[in-house]
Amino acid sequence: MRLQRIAVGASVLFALALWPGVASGQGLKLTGYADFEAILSNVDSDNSELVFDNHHFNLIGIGALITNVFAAVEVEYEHAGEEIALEYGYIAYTGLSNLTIAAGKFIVPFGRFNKDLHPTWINRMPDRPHGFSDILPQTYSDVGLWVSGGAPVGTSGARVVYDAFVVNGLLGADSSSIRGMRNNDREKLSGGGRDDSKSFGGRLGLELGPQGFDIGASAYIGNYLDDPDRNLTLSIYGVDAAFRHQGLELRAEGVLATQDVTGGDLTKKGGYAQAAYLIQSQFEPVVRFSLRDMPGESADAQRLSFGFNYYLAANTAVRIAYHINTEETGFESDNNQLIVQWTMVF
Amino acid sequence: MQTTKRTSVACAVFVALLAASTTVRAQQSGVELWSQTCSRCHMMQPANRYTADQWETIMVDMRLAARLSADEAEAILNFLKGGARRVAASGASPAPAVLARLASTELLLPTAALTGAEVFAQQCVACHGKEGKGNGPAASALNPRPADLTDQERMNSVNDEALFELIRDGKGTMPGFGSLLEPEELVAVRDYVRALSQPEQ
Repeated sequence: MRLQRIAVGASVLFALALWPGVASGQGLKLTGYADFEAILSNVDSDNSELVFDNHHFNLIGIGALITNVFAAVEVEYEHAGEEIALEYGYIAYTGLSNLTIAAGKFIVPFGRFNKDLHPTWINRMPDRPHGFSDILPQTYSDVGLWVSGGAPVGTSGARVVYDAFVVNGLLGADSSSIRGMRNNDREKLSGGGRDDSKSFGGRLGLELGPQGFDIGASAYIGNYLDDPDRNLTLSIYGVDAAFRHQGLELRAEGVLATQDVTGGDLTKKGGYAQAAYLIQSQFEPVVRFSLRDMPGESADAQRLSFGFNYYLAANTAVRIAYHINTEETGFESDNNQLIVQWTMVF
Repeated sequence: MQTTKRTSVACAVFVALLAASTTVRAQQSGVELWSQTCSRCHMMQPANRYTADQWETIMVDMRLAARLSADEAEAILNFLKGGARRVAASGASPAPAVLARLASTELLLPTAALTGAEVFAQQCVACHGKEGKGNGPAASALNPRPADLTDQERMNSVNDEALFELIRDGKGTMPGFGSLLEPEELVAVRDYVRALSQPEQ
């Protein structure tokens, strides 16, 4: 089984690698991003350890062979392991002026980090902030329908943007962790199990163009229980804001999840605030604070991160980050991390 | 379950309203949209990184990623194609294709020639800034940064012919505007740029 997966994955990668040559001039484009990390954990203790990680080598294919219809796929090879997964793969229709319709597996458009900012060549830090792992389980892809678009408002350059989706939804056992609800196996459920309810949501945003100020609000609502006779709702709400001026970028995002469980509900909160300043288009100091507030203090955590990015070019960066972690788990009292990452989009 | 139904109905109504607004047109030029939209997520990628054909495919996907309307995506694409990398093997230049598309695009092709100041405001300010100091809204995300057009020593080292060619053909991360502007507009904006570095009389 393992060999079979590797063989299939290798075949996909090989086909994609040949794609540009075969498809040159036919409206097909192969792109992607890759990164390499050196992670030094438990920096301040006697148990420090250094790990190399080939976190991503993702290939993205875009095909636009027919007018107003295109397909996009991202194949993710993660952590240099045995798994080669489909991050997304969808078909989209662009024939309407202010509306694009996509169908298939897509990255769920909730907030900014999950859909837009998580690729390492875009993310100002080498890894994700608290709140975008346990609460909004980034990177969260799902199968369904997605509509998206935007339109100018007035003549000042402001735009309203929107995303709306209906998907199969996150799926798990009563009280289970949200992160563990991803990648549910639909084939396993055929012929029984979950009812046919779907999950809904979207994001509504306002972009004040020349002022560089963006705000948005997101929602995800659905039944998460693998049981047609019971209904336990998972609701996730998010807000995001960003401001850019010259080289300065300020960004903040928060998520709040309410998870019905037998006999009550669980509330999970998290978010981050980040400031970055790009100097001479090459050097970028970054500071980020993120936290999560989970049911039971033992899972609470905070992280203060200091980073420095060096852009060799617009598509290549070396990022250095130092995480000061504060956790309530009791046994990890001193697990600060130093991460050096080299990332590139191609 | 009531909550889910209410949410789905609200989403459907909202999307229907937006989809119905198909007459809403882009208010900004391609370069303005490019400078404001792309940097919302990532570093600006120079126009000459890809060929015109590649930009065409990329922009199809970016329209969905950046929630652009059809004419906004078209305006950005036209701007990027102006500076796209030429394909030497086929000898093909994107210029004819761009011109053909521009003929039906009211966003960027004026009916009458623009003055140098108008061209500068429309095509140059996003990167070079209102005063030409190289500090426009997109400048901080460009590597290398746009030139300071008020630098007298730098500008004096480039004669008029070379400056015209630079604006027409582009250089480094700067796209060429030869396919977007009329010849008289190229001359006009060259003269306007030249004047930025000259001491006031």
